[in-house]
Amino acid sequence: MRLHKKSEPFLFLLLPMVVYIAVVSIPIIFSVYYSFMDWNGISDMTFVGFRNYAKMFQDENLWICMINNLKYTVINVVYQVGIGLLMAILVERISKGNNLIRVLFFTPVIVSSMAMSQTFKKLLGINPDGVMNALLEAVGLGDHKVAFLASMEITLYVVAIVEAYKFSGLYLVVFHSAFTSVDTEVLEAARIDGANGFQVYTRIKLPLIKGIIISSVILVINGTLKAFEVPFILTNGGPGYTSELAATYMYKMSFNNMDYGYGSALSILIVFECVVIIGIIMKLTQRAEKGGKK
Amino acid sequence: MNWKRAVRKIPVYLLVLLVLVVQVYPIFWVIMSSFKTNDSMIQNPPYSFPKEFTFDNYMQLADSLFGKYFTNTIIVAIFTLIGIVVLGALAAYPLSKMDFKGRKLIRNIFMLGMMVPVFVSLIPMFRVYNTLGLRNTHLSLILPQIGFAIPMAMYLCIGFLEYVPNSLIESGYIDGAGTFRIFFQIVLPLMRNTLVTIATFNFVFVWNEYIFANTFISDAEMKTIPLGLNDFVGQYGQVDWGGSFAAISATILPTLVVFFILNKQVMNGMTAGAIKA
Repeated sequence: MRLHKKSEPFLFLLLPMVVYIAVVSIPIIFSVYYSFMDWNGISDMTFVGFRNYAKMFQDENLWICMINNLKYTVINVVYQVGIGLLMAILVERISKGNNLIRVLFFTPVIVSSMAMSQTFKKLLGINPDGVMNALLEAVGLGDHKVAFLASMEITLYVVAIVEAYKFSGLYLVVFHSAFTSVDTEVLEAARIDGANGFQVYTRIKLPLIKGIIISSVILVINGTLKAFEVPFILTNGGPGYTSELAATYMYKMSFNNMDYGYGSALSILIVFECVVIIGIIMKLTQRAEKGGKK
Repeated sequence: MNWKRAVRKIPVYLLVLLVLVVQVYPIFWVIMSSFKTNDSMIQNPPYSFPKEFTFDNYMQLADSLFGKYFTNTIIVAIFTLIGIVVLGALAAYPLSKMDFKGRKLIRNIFMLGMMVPVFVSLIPMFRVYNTLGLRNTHLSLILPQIGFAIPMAMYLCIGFLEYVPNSLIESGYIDGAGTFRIFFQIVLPLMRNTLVTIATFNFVFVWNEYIFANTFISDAEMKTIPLGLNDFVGQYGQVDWGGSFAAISATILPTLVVFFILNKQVMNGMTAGAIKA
């Protein structure tokens, strides 16, 4: 039985659809179109076919960025999922003030990437020394100060850790709610059977939330494919290309080098990567749902 | 027996303390440093506590463009949040509670937006804004932020509407109310908590937004806080640490206040927002 008028759904949808299509859908189509063009933003566009895509394969800097992105992703997965789990377990283990602790643990997530990056620039600074190098000095390691944000060897890892640090609170919340949904009867049975606190986690809780851990891994991967703000602000991809990622590279190609055609092709590459990853997520969750209904 | 249990818990509490220090120290340090005088910053190591508190660093902010950045960010935030909440709810209602051709298709088109990274819209929007003269306007930041947030807002609203019984809406029709009246007088008030959650976590996103601002805004008068902060720190960074510490602290403060009051909404919303993938 339909009680509303035939036109009414579309009256509701009109404004949201217009804004959404103008802002999200049409730009995607335009980006695909631009990716076949040579265009510097001033002179006329010229059609170049697949040349921008072919360029990707010869662009050594892009390959550096992709490898950086891979390392960045691995560190983020290990840190965000690992520390997220640790924090969720800690919040569960303490008997008082869980909510306050959870709120405090979560705080870095709400601080803007800009403020967080500026803070770490100062914490990790050298000449003038930030807290880290001042502490090294204080314990007599003044000769071994580290240029955390200007080193060819470690800067990529430092930036990755700052990014991971900022977002690990999200997975605290994910795992915390996963733990609370574990059936208490199962846990009681385990305790009666003599399992200690450690075993409850390794034998029961972690295996039970395995699906959530796997999807968290994929979510972190998906997040780091789009990672932009922390490396862009903290080191601007430097020194050299050592902490450059796919997204910051795309941005620089477009807005610094004015190579909008190639920039568009790179943005399509990032979309493609994300779609593939999300395809995997959907497959996995569908399988998990089917498995659950058996 | 009791003390034995307490002793066994000591490693856990030590670990909690350690993680707590790691999670909170950087923010604490910036706020603490914002009260130091420039002299004491030069003479003492950066981790030391301030010996005397000063508000000079904040006074100095008042003379900069910081107030302007603050106003710009608030204007952008208000219109963006209204847009997200209103358009998200408008889209969700027919997709959840009405029966019409193309419903599934439209829903999928919206859901597709959740996986689109914002980068893909930058170049096309940059070009359109240039043509229309929309760069360096509040609208240039409001529009894309609403557009990209609609899918998630809609998704959360639909999630809530599934719990609203159809019979409630049907009885509205039987009492002679039209669709719009039912939406505004029955459904919308019921959705209040969901809408507050959506507005709350989006506030954090909007307050911190950097990419659109960095791309579309170049005029100093139109900058938002995250963008202005970069300027501020860059401008005074080396010489005047106090000023930049105060600027960073002042930008974090509004989100901290919102977070400590509405922490459940922020945590759940931001987590859902991150998980949208």
